[in-house]
Amino acid sequence: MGQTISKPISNPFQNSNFFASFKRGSTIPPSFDLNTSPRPSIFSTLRRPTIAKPNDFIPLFNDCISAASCRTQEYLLFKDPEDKFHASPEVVNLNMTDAFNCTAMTPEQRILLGADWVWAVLEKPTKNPRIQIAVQVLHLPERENADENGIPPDFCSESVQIAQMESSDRNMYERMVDFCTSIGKDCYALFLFMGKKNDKGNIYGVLSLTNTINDGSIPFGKWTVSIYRFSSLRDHSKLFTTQVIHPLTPKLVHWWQRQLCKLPLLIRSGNHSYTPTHRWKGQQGWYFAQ
Amino acid sequence: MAATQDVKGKGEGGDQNFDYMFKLLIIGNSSVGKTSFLFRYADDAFTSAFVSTVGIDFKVKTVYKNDKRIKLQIWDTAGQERYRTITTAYYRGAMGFILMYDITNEESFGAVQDWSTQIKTYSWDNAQVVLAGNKCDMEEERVVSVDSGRLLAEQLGFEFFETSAKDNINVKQTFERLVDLICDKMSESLDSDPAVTTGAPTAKLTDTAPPLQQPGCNC
Repeated sequence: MGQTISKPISNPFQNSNFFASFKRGSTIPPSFDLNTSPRPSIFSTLRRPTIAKPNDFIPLFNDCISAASCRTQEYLLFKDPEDKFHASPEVVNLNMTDAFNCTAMTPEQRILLGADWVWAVLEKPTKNPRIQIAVQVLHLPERENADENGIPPDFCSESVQIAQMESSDRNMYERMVDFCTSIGKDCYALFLFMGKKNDKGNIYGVLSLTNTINDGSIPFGKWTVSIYRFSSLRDHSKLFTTQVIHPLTPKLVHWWQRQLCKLPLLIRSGNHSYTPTHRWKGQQGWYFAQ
Repeated sequence: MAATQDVKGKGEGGDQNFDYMFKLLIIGNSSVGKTSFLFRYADDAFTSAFVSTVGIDFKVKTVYKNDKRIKLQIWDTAGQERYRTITTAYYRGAMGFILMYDITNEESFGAVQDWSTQIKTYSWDNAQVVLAGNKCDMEEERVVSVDSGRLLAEQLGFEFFETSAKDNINVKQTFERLVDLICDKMSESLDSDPAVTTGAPTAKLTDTAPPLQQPGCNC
């Protein structure tokens, strides 16, 4: 079940309002661009001019990232402070509804499966998922041990309580990892680290888990972890990669959250001179460990 | 068949007053209409837009039967093979199954035997099954005859209905029949094993099924 939130009736890139929101304007570069000349956005660098072959899913995957970002922009009320986030003509011609969808989980599914929504690259013509990315959103905890299931306390309907009983043996991170593990190598887990709940425009990092089952190099059920810290649309820091974790405990995830919070200090010690105000507001990008 | 009566006007939230809790599963190939079937029964709603179920989900519905309040925990499973590990994990403890195929899809009908094997493998012996040939409103596109469906149900020992979530045909009846079958099976087990009514340990009904609020079943 669930609710599909990214299966638009028509191509979203053919929507005039959609274009208007990405219209390039004559904006003054934000203060953190002072030492750099304008460069293409990360999305235009991802674009490949070659014609997609039947087995070449990289351009399609890139396009899916663009589409996913558009959907996330809506979700996060993204303001595009640099005014450089716009769709290319090639993307406009894609019929994304046949190639990509995103399903929002019901409150019960969020508890049972640990995911807030699931992105899927679809196979033609069956529209069965070929690659899936299960996403769990993590906010900075307002207080310790708060909201472990991601469900507000005042929304504990009977079905939610039943779902909690069914899943009481694992924490929410383990549930999502188990969910992705049960599907196989073509299902990725992505934890989005966001700021406080009243600051929905702020992604400050992602943790992606690549299922390494059958890889041979890592024991069954373990994952390769990559964490990215986002500092701007075109500048990101890959913090850790190919670290194997098992199991995924709340303590470990909270540790990562804390490390990500501390990261601005590390970046500041480099060649960057961002101000905290600009650094973390409304800047996002999407990268997936493969 | 003793008719069950929907409980109207009472929210599901926080309602712990019930006599029995039945766990039911809807299984079958992808796109046969399992989710639509559940939405029609639980919410009396239908949409033709196809949204593939991710993993598993469920709804709760309470019905009255012979003055007993029965809470139905109805689990909607994804039909795609990639979710099989998840969905079969929920077979355990299920008291009834609605095994669904699409009368306009031969492949979904051909898979019924495999789904039946899945039930036998992952569920328990006393689980009751109703075979449902869904989308019977699409007569012009029918490729599976009523007789074929009925014959297969007889061979497998299942009850049989042709249904339509879209036109609300036999949806409620399918669930009612499944509830009846479960109640009959419970009574049968209690008759043959009086230890159940005395609360003594038993290897039958109470072994893997969810615990009941009351030791006997008079529904």
